[in-house]
Amino acid sequence: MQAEKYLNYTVEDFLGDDDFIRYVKYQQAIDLQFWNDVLTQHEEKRTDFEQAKIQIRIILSAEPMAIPADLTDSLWDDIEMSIEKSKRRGRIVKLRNIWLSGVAACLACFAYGSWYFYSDITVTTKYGEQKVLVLPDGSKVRLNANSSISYARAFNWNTSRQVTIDGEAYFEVKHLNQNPDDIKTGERFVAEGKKLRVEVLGTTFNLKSRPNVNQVTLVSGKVKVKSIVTGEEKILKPGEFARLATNSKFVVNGTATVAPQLSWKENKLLMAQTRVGDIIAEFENLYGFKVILPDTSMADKRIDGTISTASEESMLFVLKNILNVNVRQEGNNIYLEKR
Amino acid sequence: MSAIPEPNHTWADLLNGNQAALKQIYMEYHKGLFQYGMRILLDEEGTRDCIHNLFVKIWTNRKKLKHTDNIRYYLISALRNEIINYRTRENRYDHNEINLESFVLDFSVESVYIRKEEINEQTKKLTEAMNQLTSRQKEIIYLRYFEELDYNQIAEIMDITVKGAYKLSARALEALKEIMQIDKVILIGMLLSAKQNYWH
Repeated sequence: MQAEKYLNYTVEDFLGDDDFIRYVKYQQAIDLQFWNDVLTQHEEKRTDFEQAKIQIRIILSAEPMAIPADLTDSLWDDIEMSIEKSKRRGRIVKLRNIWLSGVAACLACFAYGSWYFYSDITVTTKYGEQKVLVLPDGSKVRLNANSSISYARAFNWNTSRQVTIDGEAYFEVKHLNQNPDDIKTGERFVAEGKKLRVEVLGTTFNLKSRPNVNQVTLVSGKVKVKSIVTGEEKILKPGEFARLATNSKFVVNGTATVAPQLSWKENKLLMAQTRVGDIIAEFENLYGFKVILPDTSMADKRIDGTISTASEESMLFVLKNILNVNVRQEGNNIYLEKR
Repeated sequence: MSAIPEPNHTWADLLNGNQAALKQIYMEYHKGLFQYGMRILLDEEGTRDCIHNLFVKIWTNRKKLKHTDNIRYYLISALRNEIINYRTRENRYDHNEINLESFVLDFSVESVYIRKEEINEQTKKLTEAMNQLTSRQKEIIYLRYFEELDYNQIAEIMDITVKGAYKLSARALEALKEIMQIDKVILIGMLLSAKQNYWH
């Protein structure tokens, strides 16, 4: 820094001088000394010097913007997080090469395509849960607790409407047939349980395929039921229900009302001289417990009335009172004990 | 931001993949960058986003970055580009005109920088006049006196030519002369310092 340099300095020269700016801004002792020396040598520059100084002071008077208290840490955390993410992405990109990724993409497309065309959709309900779904052909299904339904993806539905049931389901099948004398394969709807098969055109029916009971109840329309084990076939009329007996033969019954077979949809169990054993079995179906009775004779008792199946507690409470027993639960087992 | 020249090995460390160097640079400059961004955007979230994107980009592109002796200049210049991109994105949704013509810089004679005995009619008028500068002029002044960038760097950052800067200053001078009758020398000194430096 040469003092002579400032001999011809004007206000604007001072304003543009880095050393001068830093002197006004930071007020360092060494700068103060230097500018004092300059001014004693060039007293005539003092006015311009002071003018420039006040102008820089005004400039520096500009109010600072408020900085949020947590800025430093929170902003850095965000930056660091984004960098970590990009590092992970970077590694994956390195592993790839264009040829390999092309092949992989083709394979993935092929695999996905095959899977898509040949895979099944399975819908499952938990214990105590019901689900309503619409099949690709527009038919409606209500699935009872602890049940599942499987069917092919939409691809095959023009040629065959077929579902598999494990548990219990209520169907409202969409009628597609135009000409009853010419039934095309795609117009048939087939629901298959473990031991029986139901074939319909467009009806409403209930299919129950449980360990203790295999039964079809027809609400409206016409169905053909077939025993998978014996091949025996039956045609049902509305209000009839067909149950597979222990010898795998059909027992067809007609009733005034099919309500007891359908009351599960309202989370109720309608009982008309119903065996306690059947009620217990239904409880096991819906909630997955194993119920142990104090003696086998209790299973043969018959009761009337309605039990709510909405929850295991409400169902157990009613059973406890009707049967006059104490309930003791051990893990998955429920013991009914004589009082 | 201090006036002490930056040790440029920090930048070299960063280019070599040292994440601690990135943090060191962040620690030193983020507050200044926040100040600058806020003055343009007046939006905390937006300013944070821009600074965030800036540092993440520096890290991910570090292998392509050049050496620099002036980290401050590099960061301010890069942040301004981030802000322009941010504004463009935001305006696409609002269908507003892109407006970079905003820069908050409020001068006040009541500040710590001005001594009581220095507050007179002239300082008050000067302050008043400076508050009426255009946003672009305020930004030039901010970059020059707060960030201590030279006029070549400022011209680069603000994408203005010497001719453009001259016009900008001259027009402002004409307008200011009418607003107030203060020493012409002071006004020239204040507003044309940019022009003078280009001609050095």
